[in-house]
Amino acid sequence: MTKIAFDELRFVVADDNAHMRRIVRTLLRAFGSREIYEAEDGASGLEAVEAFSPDILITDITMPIFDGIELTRMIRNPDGCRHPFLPIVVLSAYSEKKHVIAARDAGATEFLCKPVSATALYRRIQNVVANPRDFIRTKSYFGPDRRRYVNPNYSGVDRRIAAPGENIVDPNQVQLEA
Amino acid sequence: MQEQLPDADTASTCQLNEAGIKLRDKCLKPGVENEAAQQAIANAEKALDKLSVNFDDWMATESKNLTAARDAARAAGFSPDTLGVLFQAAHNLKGQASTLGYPFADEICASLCRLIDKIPDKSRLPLVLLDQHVDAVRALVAEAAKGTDNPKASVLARRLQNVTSDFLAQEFARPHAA
Repeated sequence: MTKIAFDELRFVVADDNAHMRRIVRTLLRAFGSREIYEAEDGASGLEAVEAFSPDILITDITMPIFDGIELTRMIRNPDGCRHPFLPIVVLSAYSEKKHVIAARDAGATEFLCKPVSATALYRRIQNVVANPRDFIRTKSYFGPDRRRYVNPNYSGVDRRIAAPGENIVDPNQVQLEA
Repeated sequence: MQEQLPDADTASTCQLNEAGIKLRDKCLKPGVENEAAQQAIANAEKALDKLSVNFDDWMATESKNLTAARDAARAAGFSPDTLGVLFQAAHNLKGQASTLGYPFADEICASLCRLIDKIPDKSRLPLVLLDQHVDAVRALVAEAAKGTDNPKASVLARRLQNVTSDFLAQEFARPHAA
């Protein structure tokens, strides 16, 4: 039996709306987190990630300068960010499938639709912490494994060079984390 | 049978998420998970309840922003910039009105976002319908029409949603609709 030590989790919350940031901060503090940093646009979100090395980023999609999808892509680019494995929870009022897919394909770890509730936010964070997913690298993607389940009836080409957990390293791969 | 091999464009490598495993090891502590989760969620709901003394003011601010964006768009004409600001103001409300206690304002703003986003020819945006959405939100805030148990607000939201759906259906049926 386990529980999450929120007091050991450091967050960056990126959202251009001050009210929304205050709501998310209030929820996180009530969960037990003490280190929460805020950013009001994509650029300051990226700066905050670099400056504070959070354990989890919670980001809106629509923000000035660059949006949450671009922020996610920048973080997942090892040439652009020192924390390419950072868990990213996208929190957005965009609930249409195309936005969920865009966030997933940018490398988001979880997607949460606004309006935010204490239960939904807690469950996403719990999933991020308790069930870290392997990372997948393809020519056009680097991020958490987008397959949430294994289809036993899949009969197509097996595109994975290695099975999850085998930690096969691409010879072209750069050193991702010190 | 010949083995199918992935091509260079779709091949992927799988990498153990060591950062995620470290985070799990750091933050998962012995304890009763459900009990801890329920406590954390109850604390967060209580904190949100305390914060709610600000919600009417926040809602008034967001509603003013929406009205100002509409007024600016009317004054300057519907350009991608002015419509973008108007859409963003409606989208902000869509994301937080329910949390702030105004679920019908959330629905009305979702309808307004849909109208702005989906209409094939932006120059054909119906001013009256647009005004009706903005004024409905303003009225809900002025009347403090909170919660889901408000028949007038419910009828207003439903009506605006239906009129928007009918209007968009007509627009899509036009010969040159994109």
